[in-house]
Amino acid sequence: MEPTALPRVPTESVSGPADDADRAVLARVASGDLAALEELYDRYRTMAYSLALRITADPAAAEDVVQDAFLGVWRNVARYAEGRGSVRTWFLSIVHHRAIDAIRRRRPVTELPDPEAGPSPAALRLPDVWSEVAGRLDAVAIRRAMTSLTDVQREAIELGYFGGLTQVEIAERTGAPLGTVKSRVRLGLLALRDALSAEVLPDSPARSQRAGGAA
Amino acid sequence: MSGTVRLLTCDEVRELAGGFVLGALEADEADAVRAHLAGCADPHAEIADLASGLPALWETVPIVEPSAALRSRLLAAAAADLPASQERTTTPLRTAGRERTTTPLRMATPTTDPANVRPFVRPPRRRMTLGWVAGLAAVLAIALLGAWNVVLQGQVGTLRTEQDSVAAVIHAGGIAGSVTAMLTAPEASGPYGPTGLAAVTRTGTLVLAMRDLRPTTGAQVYQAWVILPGSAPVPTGSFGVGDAGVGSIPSASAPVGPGAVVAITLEPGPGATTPTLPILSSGTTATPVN
Repeated sequence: MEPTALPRVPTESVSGPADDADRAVLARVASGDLAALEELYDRYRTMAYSLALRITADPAAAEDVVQDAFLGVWRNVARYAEGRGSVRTWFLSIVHHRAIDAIRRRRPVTELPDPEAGPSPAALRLPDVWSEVAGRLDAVAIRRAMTSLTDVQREAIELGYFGGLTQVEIAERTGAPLGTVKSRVRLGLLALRDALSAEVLPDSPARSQRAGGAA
Repeated sequence: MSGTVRLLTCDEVRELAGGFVLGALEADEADAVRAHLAGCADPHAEIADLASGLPALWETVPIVEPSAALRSRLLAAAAADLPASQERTTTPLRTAGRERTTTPLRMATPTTDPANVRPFVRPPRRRMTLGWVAGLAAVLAIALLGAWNVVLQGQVGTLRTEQDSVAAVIHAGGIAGSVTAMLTAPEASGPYGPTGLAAVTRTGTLVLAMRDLRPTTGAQVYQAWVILPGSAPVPTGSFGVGDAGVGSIPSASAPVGPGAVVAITLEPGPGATTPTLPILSSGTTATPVN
């Protein structure tokens, strides 16, 4: 499967300000400062909208997703917990969940649970790879990361992450057994992680800890 | 969320971790993972580990700007519930109340409902009347300048959006195995009907850029269809159109086959399963000639 997108690196999303600055803006959002919300919007509107549009393929739906995500932050900013990853990762995970929810409702399938509801899952405790990546990865590095996947891994990951399909649906779509799909997803994510880590943290201790086993 | 959440073991959570990170679990499985993580002593670092590759996916996303109107809508909606948000009393990120006196002067767009702005234009109580009038004049002037700025930003944004969407089609059309089509309006609609470019990749991704479309109103959307010979039209993405008359589909799943026709219709709302005639613009895909 060829890349379905133009690997371009927007200044706004990659070489943006450090996460400390993001947290400072978020603190002002928490205090009800509308100007801070606008600042957050200016930082992430392009990445958020692009991600939502990639998933929904519908500009009107994508704008609704982005608006809901920012309003979710405005209303529930307390759910962001420092030390649980970057603001960017947290926010884009909200955008992703809402966009997937939107297309699943369109199909229709059962709704995805609200990612902001309840205690923050460990999924949001992401390592701050992104801020490490910021300003360092270029289009070539991204291509390299994507080409580190096999075709079937990339297909499974794109169908899941951008297509909103569950692993069961990916298995039905591709004709592969469910166990094989799970394995492709896991190994694909590990390959992306390795490619980014190799780019960012060549001597990362995490690399030596990696178990090579498939799911 | 459902009332009953399945209990998972740590091993089961590890097995589901990849799908959880990808958002590709069934809803009840995702609920069960969340419930487990909320109460488990094991931090399940494997989830964060798997998720650390996601930025690579973000960077493959074609960059598209939202419409200028989205900012206005968001800020108006946020301002509308500001009193409620100001009642929040215990947020870990809350800072000193001094910051809450921030004025609305940074708002690029005045909201149409003055009530939405009210919380932000409260002047200090001791300010003299003359000062209040001067302040109001300044706010109005800034609002006008802001509105003008929004118009200019919108025009620049439209150009960039169209340029980006055409570039995306060219990129997709250049991938080995892709087919492309020039969409034109039926002759009956005269020389100025909507036209566009489309590419369908070997693996079934449609990328489309259109121009000279009439703006959509209400829930209306332009719907793209891919029609294989002898088959029913398959809906492949929709989009709204503003005053600039341009629209695009950056990526939509499409059927693949020789002689596929890409067509555009105007639908009363999203989710159409059969086209509402007439076809406004269409073209037959073919392998690009090198």
